[in-house]
Amino acid sequence: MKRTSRLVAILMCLMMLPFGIATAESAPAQYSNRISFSATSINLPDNVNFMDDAIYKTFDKMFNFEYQLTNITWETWDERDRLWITSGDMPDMLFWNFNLKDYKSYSSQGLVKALPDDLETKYPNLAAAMKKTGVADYLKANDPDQKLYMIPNVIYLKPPTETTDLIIDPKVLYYRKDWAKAVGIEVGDTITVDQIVALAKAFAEKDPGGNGAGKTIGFTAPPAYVDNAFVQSSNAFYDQFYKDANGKYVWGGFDDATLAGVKKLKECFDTGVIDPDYYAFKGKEHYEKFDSGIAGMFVDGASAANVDERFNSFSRSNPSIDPAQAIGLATVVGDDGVYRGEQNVTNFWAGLLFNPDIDDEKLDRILSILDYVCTEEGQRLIHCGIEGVDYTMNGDQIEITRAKDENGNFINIADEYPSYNFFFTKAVLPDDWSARDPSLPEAVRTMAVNMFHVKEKAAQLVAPDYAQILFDGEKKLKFPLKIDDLITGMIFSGNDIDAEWTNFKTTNQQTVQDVVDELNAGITQ
Amino acid sequence: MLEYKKKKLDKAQIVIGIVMGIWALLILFPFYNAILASISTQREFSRNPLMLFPQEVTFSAYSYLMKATSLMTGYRNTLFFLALGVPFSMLITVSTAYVLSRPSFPGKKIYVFLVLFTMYFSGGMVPIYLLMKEMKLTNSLVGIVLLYGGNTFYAILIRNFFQSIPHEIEESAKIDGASEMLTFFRIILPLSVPILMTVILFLAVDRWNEWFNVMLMVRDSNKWTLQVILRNIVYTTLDDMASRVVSVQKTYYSLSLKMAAIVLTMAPVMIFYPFTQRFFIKGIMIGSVKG
Repeated sequence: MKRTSRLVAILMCLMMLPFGIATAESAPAQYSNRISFSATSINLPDNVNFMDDAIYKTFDKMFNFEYQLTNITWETWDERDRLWITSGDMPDMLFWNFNLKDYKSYSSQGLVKALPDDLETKYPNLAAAMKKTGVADYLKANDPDQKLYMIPNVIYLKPPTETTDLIIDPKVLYYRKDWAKAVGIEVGDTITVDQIVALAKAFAEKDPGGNGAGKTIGFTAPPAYVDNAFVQSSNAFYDQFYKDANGKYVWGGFDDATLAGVKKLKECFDTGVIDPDYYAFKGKEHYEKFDSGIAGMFVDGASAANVDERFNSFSRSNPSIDPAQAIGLATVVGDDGVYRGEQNVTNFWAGLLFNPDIDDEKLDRILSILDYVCTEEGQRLIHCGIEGVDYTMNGDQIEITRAKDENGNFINIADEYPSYNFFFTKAVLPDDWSARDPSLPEAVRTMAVNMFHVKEKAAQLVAPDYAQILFDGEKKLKFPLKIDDLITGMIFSGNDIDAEWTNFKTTNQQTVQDVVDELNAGITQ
Repeated sequence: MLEYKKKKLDKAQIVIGIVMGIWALLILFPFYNAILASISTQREFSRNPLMLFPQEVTFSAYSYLMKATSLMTGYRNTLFFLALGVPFSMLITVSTAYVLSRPSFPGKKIYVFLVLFTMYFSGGMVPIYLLMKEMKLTNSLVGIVLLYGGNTFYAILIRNFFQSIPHEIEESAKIDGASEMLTFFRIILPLSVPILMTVILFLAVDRWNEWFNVMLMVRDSNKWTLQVILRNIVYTTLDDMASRVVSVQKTYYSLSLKMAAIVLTMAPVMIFYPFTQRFFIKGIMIGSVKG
């Protein structure tokens, strides 16, 4: 009898085994119905399978789904999105470059799906991430039906400095530290425009890069970044509408402080401190001039991932030079030592829209996936890969165990797991992870975070003025002036800068005044 | 036996020769420079962009582009598009041209008006997309072939050529018992080879360079044409993510990549063009005179 019982027990166990395995392998009960959705994503690699790697499979195991991805590229992004939305042919989920005018137009016409009302209770992590953007609440509060139609992608779930929730402009000056040493100039954590000029002149005259007489460029960058260093350091609002001391909206482009910055820029350009070709830059030309040893300085973003990539790029062009010894970072400040970076920096970029005809089950599944993406565990899965394979946990510390390339850097996770290319820009942007990414060298992370701390100390940070940023008056939405282009035009006109400035103000006075009047009338508080 | 005397060049001819020679060099140098930029290192080209030949030659940009598996897909799709699109366009265009060249037929004025109307006005991007979507022609290269259909401008060119053929030739063929179809295929088309070749070449270049409609209508990247794929490769490599989003892609020497992509795109056209150039010039001149 005992033997029989044992036999029956063993047989029952054997019979249960497949069910046990099936339960462990399959998705939770609420996701037992497999769904399939279409989505777009930016710059997906070609000819790779996005459903055959461990990151996707981990998500799949949890949420039981498959997806069809459509690649979108920067230069055609807006056109394709607009065409798909207006023709009712958009994928289930669309990665979308937020534009207030289009947002209102699409939502009022029912061309995009409203997010469910119970989003906060059903998807708490996603809701918390959206709250961090600031814009989600604002859009919802200002919608006629109190609905929200977009998931804005949050830049930072955790601010990089951990001392402020405000988003700090990440742009800094990258300079050749070894050249500065060679010409006998020491640069600290901050640098003024006059110091930039002195350094650039020394680079050009003393030629520490050995380029030959007159061939070294002191400072290079595309127009907007040139203005960031030379004009914005005089006026933080040089390219924005803002409230002045009287509480009235004005346009910073017309400020005297902007003129002071433009004059300084003109002087620097005329004396050859700035790259003579900068006006034509559209992409990464400044990186190339710096990496090839032609230029000694440029301005660019400096999240930890940015700095790491700049270092790696420099190393590829200069394998014998240690980038940590050759490149320094400094925050550009005004003559008074005050940092005036970009203001009204919102904690989001681009967003996710949904097809108005998407069924509830599919939408629920996608939102559930995004909810998981917004968790620490989800972010770790996307950015670090699989525990035990790509990393191990040592207490709350992550130790990366991923393979390294020939230069000793961890191989790019996107090369190992193609689905990373989809997940890493959904709901939470990679900037958030980059500041604490353990696969980046500690020194690089420290340098990047230090710049944020420097800016925090040297600036009076202002909370984003959403009322102004998302003001949808007709004149403001159609405001045509691009201050960086206008400044570049003044610099290259060859005329007296005061005359150019007067002409610029006279010509555009009415256009600016119309928006200013609209803002002051439309925003009461 | 004929004797050829060496003709002495006068001063004016020498001056013209020198000026034209310099002019030719000015035209050719950008092409040559593009090739140099595609095979030189970032450092060397940055220091000496007007070099005659790089000291250090690298094919890394070509290697990068060729390693992109999608490039072969692009060539395959473009050749398919070319092989299907050019004959289809020619069929529509030449048929239209022949009909328009007939002295009279019922409703000719309205028909001509409708054909010419499309030369100046289009339906617009969204209506065309909606039409394609309704006809289930999006995401298909065959759909793009149908979308292009005939070409009004070339149809007018060919019509003008057809009208310049003496009527007596057609009449004599008809007296000999030739039908309208036989006259068209045995008389008109053989006499129109220059203009037909020209239009074939124009259409071939058009189809080779096709990217816009494929970009809008075709979502499946396995169906993208070469131009779309090259743009994608170059832009993916060159552009940082906008705004504050960090880049995860490695950066490559952008100018070298751009130029390598340009060379790969224009090389087939430049190789074939000299062999067919005579048709281009002759055909355009013939078709453009009589209206």
